[in-house]
Amino acid sequence: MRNAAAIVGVGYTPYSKESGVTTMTLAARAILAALDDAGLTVADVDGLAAFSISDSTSPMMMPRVLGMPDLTYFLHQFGGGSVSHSVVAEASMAVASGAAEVVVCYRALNDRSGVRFGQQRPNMPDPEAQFLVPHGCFSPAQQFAMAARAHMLRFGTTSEQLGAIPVTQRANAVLNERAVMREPITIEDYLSSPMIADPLHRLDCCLETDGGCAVVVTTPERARSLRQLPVLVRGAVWGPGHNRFCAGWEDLTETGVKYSAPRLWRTAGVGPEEIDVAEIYDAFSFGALVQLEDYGFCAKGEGGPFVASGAIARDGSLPVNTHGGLLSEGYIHGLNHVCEAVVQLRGDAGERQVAGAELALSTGESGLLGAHTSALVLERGAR
Amino acid sequence: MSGVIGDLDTRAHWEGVAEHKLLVQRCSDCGRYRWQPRALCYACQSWNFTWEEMSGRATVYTWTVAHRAMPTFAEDVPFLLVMVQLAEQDDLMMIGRLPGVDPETLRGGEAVTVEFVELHGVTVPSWRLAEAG
Repeated sequence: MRNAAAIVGVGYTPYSKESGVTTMTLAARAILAALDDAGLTVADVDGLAAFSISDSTSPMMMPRVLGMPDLTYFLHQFGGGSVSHSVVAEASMAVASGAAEVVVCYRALNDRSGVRFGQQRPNMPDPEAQFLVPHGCFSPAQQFAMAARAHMLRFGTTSEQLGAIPVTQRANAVLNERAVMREPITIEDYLSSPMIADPLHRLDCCLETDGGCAVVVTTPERARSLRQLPVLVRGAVWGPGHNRFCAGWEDLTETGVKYSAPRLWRTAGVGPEEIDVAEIYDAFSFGALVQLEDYGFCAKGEGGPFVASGAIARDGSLPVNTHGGLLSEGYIHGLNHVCEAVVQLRGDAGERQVAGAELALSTGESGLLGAHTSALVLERGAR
Repeated sequence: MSGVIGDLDTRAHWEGVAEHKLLVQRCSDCGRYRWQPRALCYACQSWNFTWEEMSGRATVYTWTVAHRAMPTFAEDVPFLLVMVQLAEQDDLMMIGRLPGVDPETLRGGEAVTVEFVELHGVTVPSWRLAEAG
């Protein structure tokens, strides 16, 4: 499947705390913006793919809203960040197999002004909630905090090191006109920010955002006739998880990425040392730190010194979350990471541009501790 | 009096909690304990199991202090949540409270024992530092 699909359009709505429109309207705006970027119209689209764990408007409804005459492929994947990248992989498989030719993947939600994801109850029966809620434990922040503490105990990771992630990403967001949070922050601001679940501060936790984004996936052959430099899907991976603290997995300092990363590098035919820019799912700063270890950018346990070294800054050896990430750009459940990776590889990132970016890693992680993941390796194409 | 919660797979565990017993499943075919309760064994896929009462001994693996909580628990904030590893097997991890302990004094590895308490109307397994010696 390597390079059998190309991303040829990206589109966005504004990201804000109150969109003032319905989720349906946000989805329509994002989809049409992505098509416009690609130089395509609704008449060209034969597939729609979306994912949601909360607020959304389904791909089964959007064709009627948009006036799409026919749909040969659709996918509505349950999940949040964990499936943000697998949905693009599914669309890639659809075009590579010939099931569709132009698939728009989108995510649109009023996560801040509408049903606030950070506070809501699960939509589906959750057999594990009964072992958490009665103790007052249910929020993802509390669970990621326990993993962060375990990492600190085992490896000596410090809050000062962890804080390098939100501080660095905020500096990137300052240059991103789409970002919701654009005021620079210092490590002192970070350390003095309110504690949510020790050791995680508010600035370790992602935003809740109203907004939408979309990408257009097609075949490399079709991409050649379109206006944008294509970005090829070089590799994709679905990663295992263990549903919080379930049997058979007791080490919270590791994630399922330890299984999926070797698979990703093998299928993509590249290694972490060849990645020029990395958009790493950051619902929590700690989640990004441990992914940097598990994807092989630094040794296990070295995530703290690695992020504190300056390596993840725009001028570092591995720029991370060049748009500010979910912590500072906005929380579109990870599809906005794919958009940023595409823009970087096109060379269209302006002041945020990583010079000479040819290969990007973009990842999705679950908001549930240790649960499944998905990721993409994207490659700058040719005219 | 507590209400017994749980679903068809977990009801027996919660009935044990109501009687102040920590019941965990053990596979009748391979002997593996499992947590959380499931209908089948994750190690050998057997459907045969028994419920065993645990010793209640565990060690602290990690913790967090909740500074925000759902409305029911707002008055408890800040509160200490621990994740403990039961003595019987290395992947039996449970979350609960550790009341009366200053989080700053924790280092990981502390020996704890189970203590059943009522939290906002629900009886739950909770933890306390084990007696020295």
